Amino acid sequence: MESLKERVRAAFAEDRVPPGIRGETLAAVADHRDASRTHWSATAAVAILAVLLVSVLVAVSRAGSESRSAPAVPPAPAVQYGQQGALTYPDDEPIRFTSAQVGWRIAIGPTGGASGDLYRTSDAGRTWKLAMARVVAYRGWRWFFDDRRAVVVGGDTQSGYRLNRTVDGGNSWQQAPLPSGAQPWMGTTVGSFASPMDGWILVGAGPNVTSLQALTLYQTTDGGSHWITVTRSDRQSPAGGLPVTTIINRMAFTSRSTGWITARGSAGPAVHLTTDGGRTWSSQRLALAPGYSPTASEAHAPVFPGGGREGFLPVYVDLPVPPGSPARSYYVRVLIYRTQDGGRTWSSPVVLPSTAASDTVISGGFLDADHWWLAGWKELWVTSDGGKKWAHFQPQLIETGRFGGMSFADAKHAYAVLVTGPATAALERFSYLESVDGGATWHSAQLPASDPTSSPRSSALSTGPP
Amino acid sequence: MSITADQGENNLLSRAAAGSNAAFDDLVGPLIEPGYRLALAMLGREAEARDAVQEATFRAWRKLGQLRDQGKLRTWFMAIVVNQCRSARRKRWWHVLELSGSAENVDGQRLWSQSALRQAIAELAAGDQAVLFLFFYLDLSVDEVASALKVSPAAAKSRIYRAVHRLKLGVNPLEVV
Repeated sequence: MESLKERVRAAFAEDRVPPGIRGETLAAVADHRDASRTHWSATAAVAILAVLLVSVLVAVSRAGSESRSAPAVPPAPAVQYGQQGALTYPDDEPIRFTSAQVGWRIAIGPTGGASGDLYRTSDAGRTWKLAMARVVAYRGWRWFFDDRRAVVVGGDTQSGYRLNRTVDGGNSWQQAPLPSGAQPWMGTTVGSFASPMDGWILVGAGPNVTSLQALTLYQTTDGGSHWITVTRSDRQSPAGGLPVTTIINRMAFTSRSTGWITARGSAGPAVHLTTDGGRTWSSQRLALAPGYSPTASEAHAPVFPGGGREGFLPVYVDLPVPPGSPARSYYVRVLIYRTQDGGRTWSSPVVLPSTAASDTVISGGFLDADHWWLAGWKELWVTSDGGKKWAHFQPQLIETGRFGGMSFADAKHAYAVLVTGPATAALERFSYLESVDGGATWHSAQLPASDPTSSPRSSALSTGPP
Repeated sequence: MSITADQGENNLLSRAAAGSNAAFDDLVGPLIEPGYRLALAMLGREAEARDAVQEATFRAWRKLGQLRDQGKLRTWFMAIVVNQCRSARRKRWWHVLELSGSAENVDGQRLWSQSALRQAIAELAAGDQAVLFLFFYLDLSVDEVASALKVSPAAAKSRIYRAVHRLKLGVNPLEVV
């Protein structure tokens, strides 16, 4: 009789292993490590040049030459771009709507979640047009400012990564390089664009996100054509208040002067604020509600849905998974910190409702200061008064499935991903749902799938009218 | 002069840690398939398992200098895979989701015909699947499972017991570990 060990081994052996997984993995890792070595070599070369340059400047200065001032970050105009209403990054949403009619979304093909194709709708989701192939599909490497202006990072480890900027709704794109050392596939690099021209990329140097040795903040004011180093800080000589000893979570700028970095240190989440374009940073620790572990938190970027001084900063805290939970349950509680002064100070958190069925949060967001939503697998909470009262929906349509993502175009129109099949990821099916009554009821929506046969387009592309 | 297998492996480790790509591939390459299987058990989705094992392999390359004992390579690598899968699961809910018609769905249809035991395992929580995979499929000892999961041996033993119990196979879990 077969032993239990033999039976379980045989069961696991039924899983299909993709042919060539070993070679494919080693090749991809070889690309990464070559890029990493190049980065370190370049960093060392830059450091040597910097030392030489400083030595020359000091010598010149001592010789009584004319004093020279370092290139300054341009003065900060009062621009307010790129307010992202989502509680998560834009890539968290199945669709990012910039108006009632226009939306953007990334469709991911069968090769996985590292890259996808960018589609745009101009008729509230009825039809979709390919705007750009092969864009980075994770970690928020795209910014949608309005119906026509967007910045996305495209490419892959083989061909390299580049910024792509459109000001005409994706009909044409301008390309620009990323700053040296930026690795969009690594958690040690985060970025933010406040407008199509004004961007920042924070590059961490170190073996991984938990042991950074240095942080360098780059800024562009011309859409990525040129990058300047705003601040650099390392463990030996911290500078500018950059949080080099923490785990960087997110970065967000809302103007040329004002931005935030969220991070997690040993004491829990913290938010770091700059009002001078990133040269100096001040920090505020975000006190967790009682009973939550500071080491299990992840702070997202602050959002200012109305573009005003009121904003929200979501922090996600992992909770232990109770015994007997559904397969693949992930338990998280969302804490919302609120600011009334443009992000200078943050209040004690509001704990969002628990999604009762599984406590698994799959999506949430803010349409404005009053309208928030929070979706679990099988239910949806909606508030229209800033969290004081919540409407709770358990739509009939998804009795056999569950939500896999959600976004609201306005208080009435929403889209969601419907996941059906057993609670085993390999067996899941995906389709789209639409609601026109604020999430109370849902019906099927037909959206185009990604074309897995589409060829990579790393250069500017032009697509025809819809 | 002949060298022992251990010496050969340690040479391989030394060369890999010193930056030899070929030595790294020889050392870690054989672990990629079991690492992928573990990631698939924990994540369930082929694309995510590919990403996880790729990221874990890259991290292994970055951390290889910290590994002193060649004999612990497999447990050490699986611990990285487990960590990567935990991280992927933590972030999963905010990822853009695959669309219908993807390869996973094709695989899903095929997976329906798999054995009842495989489906029963698939319906366990990811942590339970991981512990079963490490203990039964990879044949790690309780101490090694504990090391991979970064828990105490007693906790590892308890997790194996609970996972077997949840399979409802009519086996006395106490006889397993």
